[in-house]
Amino acid sequence: MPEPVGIANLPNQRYKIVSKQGATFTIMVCGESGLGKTTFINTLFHSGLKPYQDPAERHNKFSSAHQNVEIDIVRAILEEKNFKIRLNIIDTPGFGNNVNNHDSWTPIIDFIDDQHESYMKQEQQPSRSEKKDLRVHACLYFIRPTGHSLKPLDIEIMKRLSTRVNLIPVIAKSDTLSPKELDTFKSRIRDIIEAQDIAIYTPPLELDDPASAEHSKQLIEAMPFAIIGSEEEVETGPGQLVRGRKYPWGIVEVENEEHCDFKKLRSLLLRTNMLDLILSTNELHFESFRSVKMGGSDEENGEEEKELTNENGEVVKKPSISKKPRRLHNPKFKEEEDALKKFFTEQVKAEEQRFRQWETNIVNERNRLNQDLEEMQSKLKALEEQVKKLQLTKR
Amino acid sequence: MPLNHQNRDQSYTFDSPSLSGHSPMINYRKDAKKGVRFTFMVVGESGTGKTTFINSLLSQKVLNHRYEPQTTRYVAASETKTLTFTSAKSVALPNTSILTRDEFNPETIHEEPGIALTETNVEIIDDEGLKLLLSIIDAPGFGENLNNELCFVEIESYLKQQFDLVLAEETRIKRNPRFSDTRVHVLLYFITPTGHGLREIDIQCMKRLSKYVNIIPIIGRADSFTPKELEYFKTQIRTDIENFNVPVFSFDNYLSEYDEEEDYDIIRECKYLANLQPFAIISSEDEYEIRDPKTGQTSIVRARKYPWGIVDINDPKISDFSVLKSVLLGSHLQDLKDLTHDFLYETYRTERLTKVTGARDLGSTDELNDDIEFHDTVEHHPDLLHQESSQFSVNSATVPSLSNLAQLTNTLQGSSTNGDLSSLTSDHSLKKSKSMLLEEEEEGIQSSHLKDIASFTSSTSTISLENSHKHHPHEATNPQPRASQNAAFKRLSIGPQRSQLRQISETVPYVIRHERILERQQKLEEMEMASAKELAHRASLLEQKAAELKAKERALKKRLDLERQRKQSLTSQREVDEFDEEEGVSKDNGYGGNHHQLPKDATLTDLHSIVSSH
Repeated sequence: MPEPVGIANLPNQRYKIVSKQGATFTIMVCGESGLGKTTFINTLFHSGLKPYQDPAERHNKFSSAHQNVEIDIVRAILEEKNFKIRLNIIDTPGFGNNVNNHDSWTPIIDFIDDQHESYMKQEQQPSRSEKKDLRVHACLYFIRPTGHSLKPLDIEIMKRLSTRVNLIPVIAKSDTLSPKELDTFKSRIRDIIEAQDIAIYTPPLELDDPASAEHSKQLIEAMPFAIIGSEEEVETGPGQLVRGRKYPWGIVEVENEEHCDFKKLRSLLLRTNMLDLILSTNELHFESFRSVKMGGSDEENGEEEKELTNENGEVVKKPSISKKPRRLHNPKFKEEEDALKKFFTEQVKAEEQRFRQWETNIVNERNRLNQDLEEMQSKLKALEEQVKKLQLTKR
Repeated sequence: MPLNHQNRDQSYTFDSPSLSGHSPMINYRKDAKKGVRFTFMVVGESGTGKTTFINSLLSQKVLNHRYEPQTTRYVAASETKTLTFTSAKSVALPNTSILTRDEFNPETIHEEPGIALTETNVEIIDDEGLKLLLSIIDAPGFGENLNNELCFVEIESYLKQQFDLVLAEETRIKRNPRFSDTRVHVLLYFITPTGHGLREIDIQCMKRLSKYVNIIPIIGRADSFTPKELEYFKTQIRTDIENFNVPVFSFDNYLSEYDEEEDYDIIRECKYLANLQPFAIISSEDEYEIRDPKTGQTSIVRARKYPWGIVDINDPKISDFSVLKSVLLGSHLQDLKDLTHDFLYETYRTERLTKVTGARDLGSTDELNDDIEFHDTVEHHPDLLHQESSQFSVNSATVPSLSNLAQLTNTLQGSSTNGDLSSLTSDHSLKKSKSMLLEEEEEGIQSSHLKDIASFTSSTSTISLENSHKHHPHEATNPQPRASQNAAFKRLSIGPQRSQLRQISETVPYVIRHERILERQQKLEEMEMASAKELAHRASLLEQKAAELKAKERALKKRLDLERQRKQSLTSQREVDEFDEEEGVSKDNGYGGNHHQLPKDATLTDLHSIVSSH
């Protein structure tokens, strides 16, 4: 048998290159506040990656409870067995916290589109070896465990997200739903997702590999994932520490398949489907963005995008519209500006009032003092008079 | 008071299931026959456990869950009716909305639900035959719209309307004996369990509604927090309540009213409750068997069952459910009712009457000025002076007598509002000041009025001596300033007042109704405008679609024509070919024949295809 030529080593060479380069992975967590987004991230990576929001900064400085949607990016480099991964975690604090949540998704959608656009611009540069890539590979949308159904707000943003990123809906804090309630809730969400044409990410079914196909099937069946997050380790038995939440009535284990789907989600995000997430972002979402942006180079694709946005009813801006005018028209900024102006004028008024008050006080005080002085003087005069009189009488 | 006190003591034991054991209602045999009305409202986002809470509070299935089929209802006594409905888009009809149809339809779930108010009446009769008529008002759709502004407006206007109804009834000369008081006594606000604190919607909602109703904030679904998290969440909520000045119902407001030694238990209880607030509750409709680990006995309790354990909702260590139950249906029921009537309603009444009458009386300035002088002498009594806020003197510049009286009662009540004491003392003072102003005739009207107030508050018959003493100097000193006024002035001021009062009692209900009608009209007009706009928008969309379709049709037709022509040309060509073979006719002729049939723009490509295929 002749010695092999060595072509079979190519995968190994590739392996070395890849492990040397490392990878970039961007996760976006999106959802109303108080659903355990931060905790989930920390649970997922077994570390305190993401600090909690300072409760004092939750509300606006200007003594109003209004909150604006922000984009918060945490970068980290994780290393496991000498393989480095550059991790970007994007949080969207403040989403859905206001009374009026119209357009509260704009900053998030804009952010995603911006990343696509900046990546595209970098690609068009003459030297493009070093690209900054913040394109979102996976977006976890956290659903409040109401047990009823989704809210219009959820649907609005999920529709918009689903055409731009790999959307993975998760039921947050699922330890408040009993298994029966969870089942009904899940099936309702699945119905809604189907009826509303929301394209969620589904792991590819590889038919030639029965084991992985089975795994993917399980993942698909478990969607939307019901998760529980915890950063604390609690003792379940003697010397046994697991991540979980300790209630007076029992311990919920994060990595227990019977309690929640955390393990499945982790497998989907990191262990089995990370590459697929990255590739599908590049091939599907970035491509469709690009083709729309380039303007009808690929006619069919453009039409599809148009249709998707039209379905949302209302006025939906196509991503092909150039960015700058949209920025200016963001109604939230206008509102904020007005609020600030109002606050400013009020403040000025109050200060002026205070000064005026002060002034009148001072004037009053002066008058009073003057009066006192006069009195004193008159008294003095009287006394002098008296002295004179007395002196006269003495003489 | 002492009677009450005893009952309150009992109320604090957690496991007293019967109402009579801890209700101050035992004092009112009369009420017991008629039944005590109590109205409460639950407000909060969907999925915060409102329905489950009510069902577990009353230990029976009263409300249906969202999307639950109607057939599962097995309590016939309760029936839910929809009071109001407002849609977010203003085009949808009530019967097409998700809220009223109440079935799960994933196709329409993206539509904003709007907000509805529903009322459910339940009668509870406990072992001793005491009847409690509960009205539960639910607000489905709250917090589910994209813009939730309309939710507050709707609830606020409903609460206001109930006050207006009572006010109109009160001012009427002849009263409807079967008038039922629909004012909401307490609003349970379910805070979404975020773990961070209050959100804008919570703060705004509570602030706006607190003018009309006592608000008790509640953390629903407390089982999503570990004890440590719950403690943190509660602290956050308390800070937010303080920072944003959210006026929630507080249990320790009137502690100074109580005697330090005698009512020690009440004070302790109120302090305990105040520390507990906001109540964190867990509720459940299912019952499970629980085995006590110590005694080994099994008992059936309401609980939630998870794979990792069973949560007993009545366990005071993990859930404030039992405390809240005893507060709501027992110890504080009367307090809440009294506070609604004596404080919230009075304030509202004052404001309302000031507005209604103030505008009308601006014309008669002469008498008015005299009136003011007169009132000032009466009301700036040293005893009261410190209680009267500066707003009073501002108001009195334009306000006729009745509202001033209300103001007076109000300030008095504000100072001593704790149910049992206040109504009597205030009525007392009200009578005093009135008797000075009015002759017999008005007295007739007014005394019925007073009776009415008394019956509404259904206060205890105990007058603390201290209080009546307090008002003696008031009585004694009053005649002096009056005497100092000359008699002519007196005649002048009383004359118009008599007719004025009658006028008020005659007109106020109508004015209120008129205002409401105007309001509704305005709202309807707005809605009409909005729907017209919406319709126009839809029409334009449809037109656009039609145009698109037409364009598509044209394109398709064109293609069809092309196709047909190509086929024809092909067949004709084949014919030509055949001709060629058979008769040897020149090709030019065949093409020429085709040429005439083809439309101009299509010819070139077709010819091309023919040539290439050839």
